[in-house]
Amino acid sequence: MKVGLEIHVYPRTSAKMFCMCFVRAEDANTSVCPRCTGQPGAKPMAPNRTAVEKAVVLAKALGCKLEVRATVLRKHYFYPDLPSNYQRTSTPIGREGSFLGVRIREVHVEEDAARYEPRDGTVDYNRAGVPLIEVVTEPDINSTDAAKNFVDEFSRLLHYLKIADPSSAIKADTNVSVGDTRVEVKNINTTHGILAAIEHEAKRQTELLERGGTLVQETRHWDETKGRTLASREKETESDYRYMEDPDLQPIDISSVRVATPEDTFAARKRLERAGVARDAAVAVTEEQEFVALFDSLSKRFEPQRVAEWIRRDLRGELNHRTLTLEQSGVKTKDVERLMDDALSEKITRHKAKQLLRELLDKKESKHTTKASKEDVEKAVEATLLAHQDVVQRYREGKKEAFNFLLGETNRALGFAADPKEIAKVLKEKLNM
Amino acid sequence: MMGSKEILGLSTSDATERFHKQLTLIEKQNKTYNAFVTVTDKYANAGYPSLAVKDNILVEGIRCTSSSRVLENYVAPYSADALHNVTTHLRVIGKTVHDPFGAGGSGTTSDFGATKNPFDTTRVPGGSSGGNGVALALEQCDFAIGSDTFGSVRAPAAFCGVVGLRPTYGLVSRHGLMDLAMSLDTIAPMARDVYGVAYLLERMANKRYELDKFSARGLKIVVPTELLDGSAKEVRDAVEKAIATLTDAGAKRVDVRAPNLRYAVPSYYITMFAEFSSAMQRFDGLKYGPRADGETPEEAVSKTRGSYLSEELKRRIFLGTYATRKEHANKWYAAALRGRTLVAKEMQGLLKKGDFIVTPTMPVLPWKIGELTTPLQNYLMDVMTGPPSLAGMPALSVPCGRTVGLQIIGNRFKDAEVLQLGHAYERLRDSK
Ligand SMILES: [Zn+2]
Repeated sequence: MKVGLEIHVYPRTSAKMFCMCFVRAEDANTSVCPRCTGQPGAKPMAPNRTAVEKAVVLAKALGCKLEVRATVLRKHYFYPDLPSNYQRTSTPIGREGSFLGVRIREVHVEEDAARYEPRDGTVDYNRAGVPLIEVVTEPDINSTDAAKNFVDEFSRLLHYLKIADPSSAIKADTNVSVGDTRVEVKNINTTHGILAAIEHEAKRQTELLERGGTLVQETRHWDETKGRTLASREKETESDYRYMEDPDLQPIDISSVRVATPEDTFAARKRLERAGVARDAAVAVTEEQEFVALFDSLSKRFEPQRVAEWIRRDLRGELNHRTLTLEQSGVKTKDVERLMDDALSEKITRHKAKQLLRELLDKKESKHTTKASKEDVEKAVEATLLAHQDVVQRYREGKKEAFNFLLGETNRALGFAADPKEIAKVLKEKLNM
Repeated sequence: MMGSKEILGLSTSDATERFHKQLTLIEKQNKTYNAFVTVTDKYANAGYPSLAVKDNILVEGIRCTSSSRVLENYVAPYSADALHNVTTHLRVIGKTVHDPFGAGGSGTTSDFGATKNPFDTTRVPGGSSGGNGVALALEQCDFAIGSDTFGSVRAPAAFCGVVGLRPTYGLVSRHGLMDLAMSLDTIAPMARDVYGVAYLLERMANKRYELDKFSARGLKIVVPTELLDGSAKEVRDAVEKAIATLTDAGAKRVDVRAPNLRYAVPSYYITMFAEFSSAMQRFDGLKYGPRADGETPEEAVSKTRGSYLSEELKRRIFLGTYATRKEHANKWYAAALRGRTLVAKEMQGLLKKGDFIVTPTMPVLPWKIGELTTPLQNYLMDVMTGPPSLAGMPALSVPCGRTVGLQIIGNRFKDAEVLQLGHAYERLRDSK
């Protein structure tokens, strides 16, 4: 069996790829502007720098050779989810890498399409223009176990390197061939779906061959609810996307992107194991860079396995219970470290330590769930304005979408605990001062 | 006729009075000349001089048709960047007619009727920014903003006896200008004199330009002789006279041959077809304008595009789609890019031999409406205005005859110098 993957990752960034609209919004068509809805005359802004940086970090972690520059191309086809009936996608940022023995063909960035609902004929443009990183592998995965391992480790790497949020979805297309015939499976929207689709498709192909049937080269769609792949209704035609360099955009200068290359999950795990940490604890600690930092600091004073075990069982346990990462919890690593120090040196009991940890997490958590006060909103707005003076400048030059960006940033800083209308009001006041 | 400087100095009440007179004039003359497609609501108190805006440039809250039926009822949801600092000092009086999406050189192919030359209604005003040229010439407005891809403000400036500048590509934001050929499109100012054009560009590009303190003495003016020789006699005579005016004032004339400029028109048209076909993808009937029914979505899109886009637009989209097909891309589009490089190099070479290049703006006088029957005849009219576009250079058209323009071309980002020479020429011309 030969399996290749095309994985789409939503990088951690607050703005869309070619405009300043926020990447998330609750109500349909509220995080939109002339650029991401493809209004006549609207021009893209330069590609989102953070998205490009995340792609570079990922390409490096996958052992790719980096390109000097990448060009933004237009891929043309008519579909209601594309505002301009072309999608912007870059040429490779890195190529020829390798991950778990699977060759990586390329890593590039692109923009997502809008969300089209064929049954109601509606389109939600909130998703239009949201940055995506696409990773394309060669068809080197040769078993469902290997596929599972690949997807698991790939997800861990994404989270560890802070390329994507643990909660953000992965989209994928895959090609599966049991014999010589290659079948594409599209429309997979979850990590679980990738494995289920591969398993189902491999089984379908094997059974068909055993029954003496013949496979056809085709594109099938994954139906998550039915748990099976379905033949596409559309006729398989040789499509010509008329790829063209986008005349509105300069090439992306990759050589000028400076990103630190943190130790990847494998190297960190190996280092922990060499220090005497058991495999399961090493795997758990290398889920988050924050865990590794705690480990590195505390293992100087305490036995490494004890430190790792405390992180795995107590800290990670409490966080999992709240479906939070340490970073998301908003708790300072320093506070956790002090607490762990007391616990590991047995100044306090384990029971007491857990109680304190819960208080620490819940205090932070409670701030996320209660409504923010007017004062909190004002403070957050001021901080946002200070941190994004360039955006404020753009707003003053008349770029209205800058407002949405500032609104989104403030909303996020408040942990989505304030009424967006209230934020908008304060923001308007402060901007017009 | 009042100069731009004088108009800008009018008191609030005088400006309002002038604005109202112009509204009345438009009402009276628009049936004949068809310069405006939309006239802005009558301001009780305009307070500022009038500005006409080509209808392929968005002004928030005002209908923006791009002279095409596919956008007949489209109301702009935002304003072009280039207008932000202009509309604080000028009042938009209306949106002007042009060739749909800027795709045309005659100014007569709008889906909402032909625009007529201000001096002879049987002749073309030049395009695509034809409405601007006519409105300025008839004093229906005092300032105008158009767009120039391959001559679209310079051609009507020449044929209507006004001034138009194509700024250096990249100097003025294009956000809010509808696409024709994105790698060449510019938002471009027009007025009745160079002062007015410089005033607009200052506000569009956030720069300061000093027009005076400039002398033609010692300047080297490069004249590509094949362009002059290939022009109609009336055009040649007027331009020779203009060059003589400059040499009399101390400029030196340098005659050159520039054979590679002949690649400009074919390179441009293939580039534009390709880029235009991409830009026009969005008009599928789902989001804008009238929509035709079909059995399948594909059929509906195809019928909509088939029914509501003009012949010339469809021609350009077809040719662009053809040129960028996988099997043709290298043959056509890549060849066009090579041609473009050749022309740009030739132009840069010419500007090493002197300070400015001077040519006629248009090779002929305004032709009769309907006289040029094939697309190719129309395309060849861009032979003078094309080369600076491909080289990204600023190019100014100043009248040197009633319907003849003198084109002054400078190096990239030397917009100020081009305006200074134009201003100096204007004064020499008028003092004779
Ligand atoms: Zn947007």
